[in-house]
Amino acid sequence: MASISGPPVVRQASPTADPASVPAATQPVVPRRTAPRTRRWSALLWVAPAFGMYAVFVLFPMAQSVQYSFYDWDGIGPATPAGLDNWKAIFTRPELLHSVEHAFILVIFYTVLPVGLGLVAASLIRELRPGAFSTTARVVLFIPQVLPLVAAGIAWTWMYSSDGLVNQVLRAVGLEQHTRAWLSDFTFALPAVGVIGVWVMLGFCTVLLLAGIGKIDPALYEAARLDGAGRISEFFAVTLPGLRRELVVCTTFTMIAALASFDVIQISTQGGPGYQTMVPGVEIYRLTFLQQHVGQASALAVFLAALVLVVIWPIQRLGREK
Amino acid sequence: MRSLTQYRGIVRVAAIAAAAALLLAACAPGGNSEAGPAPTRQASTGVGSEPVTLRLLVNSGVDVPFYTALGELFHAKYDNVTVKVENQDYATLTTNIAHILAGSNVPDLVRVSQLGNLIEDHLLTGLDPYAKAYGWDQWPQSQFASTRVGPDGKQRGTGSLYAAGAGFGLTGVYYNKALAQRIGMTRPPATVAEFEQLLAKAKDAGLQPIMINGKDGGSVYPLQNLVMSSAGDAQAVQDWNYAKPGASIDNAATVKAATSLQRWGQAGYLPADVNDIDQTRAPAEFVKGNGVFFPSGNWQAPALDKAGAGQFGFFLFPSGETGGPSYAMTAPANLGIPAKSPHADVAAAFLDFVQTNSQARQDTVTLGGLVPAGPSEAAAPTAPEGSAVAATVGSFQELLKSNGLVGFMADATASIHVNSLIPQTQLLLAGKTTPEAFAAKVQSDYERDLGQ
Amino acid sequence: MTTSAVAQRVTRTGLLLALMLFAIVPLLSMFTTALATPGSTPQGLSWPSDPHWHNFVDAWSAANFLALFRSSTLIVLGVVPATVAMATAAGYALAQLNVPFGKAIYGLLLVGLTLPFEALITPLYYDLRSMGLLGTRLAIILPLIGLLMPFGVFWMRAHFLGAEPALTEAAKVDGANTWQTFRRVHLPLATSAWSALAVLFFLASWNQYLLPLVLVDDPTKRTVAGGLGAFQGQYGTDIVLLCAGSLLIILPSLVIFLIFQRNLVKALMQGAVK
Repeated sequence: MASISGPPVVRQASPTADPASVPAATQPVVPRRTAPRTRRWSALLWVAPAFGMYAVFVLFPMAQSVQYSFYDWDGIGPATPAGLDNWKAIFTRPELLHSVEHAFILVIFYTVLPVGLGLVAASLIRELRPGAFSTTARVVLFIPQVLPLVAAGIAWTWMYSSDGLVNQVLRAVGLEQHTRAWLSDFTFALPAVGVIGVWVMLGFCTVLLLAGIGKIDPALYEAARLDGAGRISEFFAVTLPGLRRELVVCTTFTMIAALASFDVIQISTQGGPGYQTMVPGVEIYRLTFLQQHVGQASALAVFLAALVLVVIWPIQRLGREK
Repeated sequence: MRSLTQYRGIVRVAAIAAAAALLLAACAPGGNSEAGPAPTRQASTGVGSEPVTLRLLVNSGVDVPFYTALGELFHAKYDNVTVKVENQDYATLTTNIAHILAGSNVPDLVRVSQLGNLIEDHLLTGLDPYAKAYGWDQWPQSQFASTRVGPDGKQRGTGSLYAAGAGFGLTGVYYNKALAQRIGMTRPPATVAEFEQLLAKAKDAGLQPIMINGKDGGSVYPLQNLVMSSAGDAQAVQDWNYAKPGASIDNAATVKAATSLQRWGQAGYLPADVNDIDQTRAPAEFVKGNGVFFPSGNWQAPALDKAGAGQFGFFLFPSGETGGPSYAMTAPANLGIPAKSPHADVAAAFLDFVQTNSQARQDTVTLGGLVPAGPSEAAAPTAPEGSAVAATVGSFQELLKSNGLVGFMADATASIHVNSLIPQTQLLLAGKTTPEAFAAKVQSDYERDLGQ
Repeated sequence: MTTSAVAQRVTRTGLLLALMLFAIVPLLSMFTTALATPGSTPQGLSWPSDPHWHNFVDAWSAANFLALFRSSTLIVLGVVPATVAMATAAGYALAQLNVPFGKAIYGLLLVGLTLPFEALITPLYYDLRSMGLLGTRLAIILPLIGLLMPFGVFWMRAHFLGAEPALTEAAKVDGANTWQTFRRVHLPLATSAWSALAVLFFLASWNQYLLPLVLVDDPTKRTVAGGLGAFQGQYGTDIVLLCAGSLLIILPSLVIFLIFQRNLVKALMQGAVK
C-alpha cells in the first residue's frame, strides 16, 4: 500500500520545485488504529476556508473555461454560441496543433534529459564523501530552480544572442562557422529553449533522486556486489528500481512544467521564429488578449488541462504498482 | 488500495464538474450586450481651471521623450494640466490595449496602433464632436481617413473619427550615402528592377545590401511595397487595410512580391540573421556601415541624423515600372481617448494642441521624426538641409499630392502583424513556406480576425 | 589507489564540475555583463577592465525597484500566511478528523495539482474584473491562494497522516478537545512541514509571472517577476542594464533559498529516514 505520490506542483506556469516534496510525496502511510469514527460536521469548518478559496478561484473558473469554449466571444461584447467550432479548430488549424506538438518535444528537454542527467549527478554526488564539496554541488545545481523563470529566460536569451557566451565559446574553440543567433534559427530555436528547461529542472531532479538513493538499503548493494554485479548492472538491478517513486515525482512535475510552459517562451522567443517555438500556454495568452478569441483560447486551455491529466495518469499508476 | 479508490473518486467528481460546466454552457458568458451606438459625449473645448493629471499611455522607446516634451509644452500653456507619460513596450501594449481600456485603471489618452475591435466594443470616444468644435473638419480630410470607422465597427476609411495624432509615420528606404556612391548609385532607383541591380552590385562589392529587422516585422515593409509596386496600384491593399467587404490580397501581386522578397533572401541581399535583428539593432548596424540600404520609417530619421549628420539619405520605395506611381506606408501616430477617461475634454484639447501649436509641430518632426499634418495653412516645420529628416518630410509632401500614401497592412487587424505577417514573412525568408501559401495564409488569418 | 581508480575519480569529479558550471555560468555571464560600460554590448563572459558597479544603482531606479519590492512583499504577505494556515487546517482535518465527504473534497483538490495556470487565466480575468479587483494586488493574491491550495493541502495532509495516533489518544485522555489537540500536540510537531511549505509558497509568489502580467497593468503593483517582464520590454535592448536589473530581482529568491536550503534538505532527509 502506497500513498499517492501526487505531483508536487507548486505552480505550473513557473515551476519552482521543492526538494522537500519528497517526504510528503513518498512518506509511507502509518497505519492508524482508528477508533470507531463518526462523521463530524464541525470538521467541515476546518476544510471550508481552503476548499472555498480553491472552489472560487480554481474550480469555478475551470468550469467557466469549459463554458467559454462553446462560444464565440471577444471578451468584451456579447457572446454567440459556436457549437464545437473552437474544438474542431484545435485539430484542424496547423498552428494550434503544432503548439501542442512543440510542448511534447519540450518534454524531452524538461523531463528526459534532467532525469537522465539527474541520475548521473546524484550518483556522482553520492560517491563523494559528505562535506563541503557535496553540499556545494547540491546547492549550485539547485539554484536555477529557485529563480524566477523570467530571469532564466533573460539570462539564456543573452547566452544565445549573437554576442552571447555560447557563440563566444564556439569562436574561442575555432568553431566560428557554427555561431548563429540561436533563438531565431529555425532548426535550433526549439532545442535551445529546451536547454533552458534542462537548466531549470536539473537541480530539482538531482536533489530528489539523491534523497531517493540515500533511502535504498545498503544491504541491497552488498548483495548485488556479492553476486558479482558491475556498476552498470548494479545500477539497473538496485538503484533504478529503488528510485521508482522519486522518478515518478520528477517525471510528473517536469512534464507538467513542459506541457504548460509559458514564462520562458514568452520572454525569450514569443513563439518565433515563424511558429517554431509556439506552445499552448503562449497561444492561449495571445488568443485571449491579442486576438480576443476567448472561446478559442478556452477550448485550447481545457484541452491542455485534459492533456496534462491524460499524460500524468499512467505515470502515477506506474508509481503505485509494486 | 486506498489510492486507487481515491482516483476513482477523482474521476467521479471530475465527471460531475464537467456536467456542471456543460449546464453552465447553456447560458452565454459575460458580455454587456448593450449594442447601442458608440458613446458620444458633450464636447467642450475648454480645459477648465481644476488641476488635472492627464495620463498618457504610449509605447516604450522614442515615444517617451517625445510625448514628455509635448506634455511639458501643454503644461506651459495650461498650468492646471499635468501630463503624465506612461509606457509599455509595443508588443505588450498592442496585446493588452482592449483590456486596459475595458479595465478600471484607464489612461486619458492611449497610443492606438491598431483599432481592432476597440470601436465595436465601444472602448474609444468618438471624436466627431471635437472635430467640429475645434474645426478639424475644415482641414484636409485625408489625414483622418484611417481612423474613421463605419457603423459595423470594422470597416475603416469612412464613418466617425476615433483617433488623431501629432504627426504621420512614413516608410521608404534609407541609404548610406558613402556606400551608395561606392556601388555607383547616382540617383535613387526609379524602378524595382533598378533597385535589384543596385542590390546585386552591393553584394558583388562585398557589402551587406540591405539591413532590416526581421524579428519584429521590418521585413513586412518592403514586402508591402513590393505588393503595391507589382500591382502598379495600391487600391487593393488599401481596401484590405480598411476591411472593405470582399477585400483580398491572396492574388498574383502578393505572390509575385513574396517571390521577390524570398529571392532577395536567397541571394543574400538580406542579413543572414535577419530574423534575429530587431528595430533597435537594425539602425545601429546600419549606422555602423553594415548595410547600404535600410527600409524603414521616418521615426528613425532623427537618430540617423544624430549618428551622422548628412551621411544618410532617404528615397521612396521604387515603383514597378518607369514613371509608375510611388507608394509609401503611412499612419498617424494615433492617440485615442478611452471611453472611460474622466478627462475627455482635456484630452481632446491636448490632441488639438499637438496638431496646431507650432512648437509642438516642430517637436513632432525633431523629436518624433514624424510629419505633422493639421490645417492646410499651418507652417511646415523646418529641418536642416540634406538631413534624413528633411528628406522624409519632402517625400511626404510629394506623396500627399500624388495620392501615394497607403496604410500599413500590419494595422489591418489587431493581431495580423504579430500572428501572421511577422511569422509568415520569417517562414518565407527561411524558405519554409511558398509565396502562394504565404498569400493564402495571411488572407485566411485576416478573414478569421474579421470574423468572416 | 591504482592509477585507473585515480583517473576514474578525476573523470567523475570533472563531470560533476561540468554540470555545476552549466548551472552557474548563465548567472556569471549576467554578472560580468551587468558590470560593463552602460550602453555597450560586451562579450558573453569577460571581466570588464573598469567595472561599473553603478549600473546596479541605475537599474534600481530605472525599474522603480523599491516600489516593486514593496509590492512583492505585500503580495507575499497576503498569500503565504493565509495559504499556509488554511492548508494546515484542511490537511489536518482530512488526515485526522472524519470529515464528511472528505474523500470527495480531497479528490477535487488533487485534480487541481495538475491544472496549468493558463487554463484558468482567461476566466479569472473576467471574474476579477466583475469583482472590481482588476489592477489591484488582491487580483494576484486571491487567485494565488486558490491555485496554491491543492499543493498545500496535499503537503500538510501527508504530514499529518504520519502523525503518531498515540499522541491524539493521550491528549484525549487528558480531556483536550479537537482544537486543543491540534494546537498543543500536532501543530508544534508540524513546524518543519509548514515552514518548508511557507518557503515554497514564498518562492512561488515572488516568482509568479503570468498572473501579474494578465491581471495587473501597472508594473509597480506586480510581483518582481512580473515587473521584470515589463522591464525587459522597456529596456530589453540595453543588455547591461537588463542584466543588472535581473540580478537585483534574483537576489531575494537566492538569499531565501540559501538561508533555508539546509531546512529544506533536512525535511527531505527526514522523509528519507521514514
